[in-house]
Amino acid sequence: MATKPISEINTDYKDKYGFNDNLENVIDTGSGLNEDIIRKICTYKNNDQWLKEKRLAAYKIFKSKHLPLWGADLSEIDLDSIHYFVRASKKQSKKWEDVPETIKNTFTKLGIPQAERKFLAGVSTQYESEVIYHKLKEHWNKLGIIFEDTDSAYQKYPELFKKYFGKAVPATDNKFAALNTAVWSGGSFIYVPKGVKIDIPLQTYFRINLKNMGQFERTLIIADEGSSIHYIEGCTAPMYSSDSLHSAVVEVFVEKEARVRYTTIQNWSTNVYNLVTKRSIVKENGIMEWIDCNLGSKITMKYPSIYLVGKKAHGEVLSMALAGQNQHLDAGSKMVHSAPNTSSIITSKSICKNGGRTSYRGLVSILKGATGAKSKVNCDAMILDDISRTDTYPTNICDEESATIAHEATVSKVDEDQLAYLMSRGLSKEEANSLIISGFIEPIVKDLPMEYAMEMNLLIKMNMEGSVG
Amino acid sequence: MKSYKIIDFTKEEQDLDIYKDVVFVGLFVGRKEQFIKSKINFIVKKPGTIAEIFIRAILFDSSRIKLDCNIFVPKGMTKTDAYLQIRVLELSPYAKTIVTPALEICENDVKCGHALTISQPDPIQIDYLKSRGINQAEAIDLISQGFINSTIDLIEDDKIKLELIKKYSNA
Repeated sequence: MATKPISEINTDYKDKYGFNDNLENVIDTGSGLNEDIIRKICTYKNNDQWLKEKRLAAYKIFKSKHLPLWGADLSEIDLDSIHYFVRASKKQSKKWEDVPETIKNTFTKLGIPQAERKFLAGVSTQYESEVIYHKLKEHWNKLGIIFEDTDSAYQKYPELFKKYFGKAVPATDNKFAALNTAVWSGGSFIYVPKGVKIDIPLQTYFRINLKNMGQFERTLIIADEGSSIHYIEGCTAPMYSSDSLHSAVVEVFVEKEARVRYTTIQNWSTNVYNLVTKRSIVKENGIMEWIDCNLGSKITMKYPSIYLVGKKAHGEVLSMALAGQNQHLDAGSKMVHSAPNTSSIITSKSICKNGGRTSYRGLVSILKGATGAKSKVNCDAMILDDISRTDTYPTNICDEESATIAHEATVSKVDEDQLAYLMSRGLSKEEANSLIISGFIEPIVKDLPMEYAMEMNLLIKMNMEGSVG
Repeated sequence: MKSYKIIDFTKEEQDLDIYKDVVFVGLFVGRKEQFIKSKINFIVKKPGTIAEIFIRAILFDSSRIKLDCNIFVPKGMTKTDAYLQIRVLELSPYAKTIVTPALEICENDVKCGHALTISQPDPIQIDYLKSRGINQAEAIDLISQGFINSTIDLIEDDKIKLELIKKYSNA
């Protein structure tokens, strides 16, 4: 087992993901936000009156709401310095050859076309505010699957869009959901028709290039009756001295007997505020799974939620957070049971080191009438040095006598007995540490597609070696 | 030498300092329209503290409980081994529980954990008791009494145990 100790978290981040391209932006609304900028965004995007009204109404809600008074410290965020809409490429391209050279270089460095050719069913990449390259394999097209960037989907399928937009996450939900509704741009729109099962994951990649940039994608996934889909998103950004903001909204609708798995591998640079609202509504016998891996960002506040509204619906969240220096990852999950015999499982694994802070913040709510509902929450935290911190804040609400909630949490460091045993078998301390940590996060990694699991293991291993004990 | 202290858990909010080896036992019994509200912050004050915290709540009628329990391990409190266990038994369809068992850990050389269950009486136990000729209401009474007694049994001091059994028998 050849290993190379790396003491800092994401030390290779700058070389691998942290480059920035000097390209001229076609449109930039400048910093700050007001009604005129929202009107300009509507004009650039050819939005009709319906959407324009939605955006303006959401802007008013955004102005009226205050920042969350709980969770991570957002006092340093400067919303007036953010660029709310930037367009890097004039047109959306269907062919790789049509994508501007500089942007293409970025994605070539990140292996997007290769990944697409090799194994992904469709790939959509969002650069700054808009999706610039997007292709869906013909086979899926024939099955009636819609995989568009959200802007195009609104133009092409307005009825379907209006039926679902804002139904899981209304603009009134929170300040950042309102902000996203006001200025959203790009994101993915996926519709899977009845009975269609996609066995290969669909992927999107998000990247911020400009400093003080805000990325506000809106993703809508609709899995019709009996269908199944796995969607993967990845995110990175270069490092600047000033902060950027990523505030996405993701709405997932799981119809009767459908299944959706949504995987996120978040590796933003450590100057990005990652404030995301993700919510899904699951109907009878449906299954929703969020797999949420958080490695990057300065502050993350993200709690993927599942509303189990149909009988025997099932929700599952696997959440992983790895916080290093100057990072506070406040992640968790919300599970709301409102129908009989619904079930849910939340598994959270967090690791903090070099002064990083991880928090698990969760909610399990069993409403009246959700007879026989069952929920199990398991959160484990590993704290690797004496300058880091970990917290667990799980709220459990039970309003139904016949329901069962079980919750368990542990906090510990790397077990010295395990370490001693592995070292007695000839492993170095670093190798032993690395192996123990791989075992710790195994429940999350085993559910990732093989290539991602390998990448994730490697990333964790690189981040951890030389830093424990 | 072991010492015992009675703590008033009914205060809406309180900080409890914990040192060395301690066992906390808390029992809440909710009846009628009662709304029990309790926020307890357990703060570790000495390195090497070993703490076991057992909190039980049993809810009859339309009683409700809002319970926030936090274990806070400040920096420097190495070798802390603290564990919080909360069990809530809901005996009525009108009962409601809101529980947040939290952990705030600022030290790495520690072992901390918590566990929570919110449930109704085990239907297998009820079926068994009914098969022995006991009706549903009596079976639930027996189970709830067992739940209370098992909590009181966690206390080692016989005098205190007896007092509590007297107070809560036929609860």
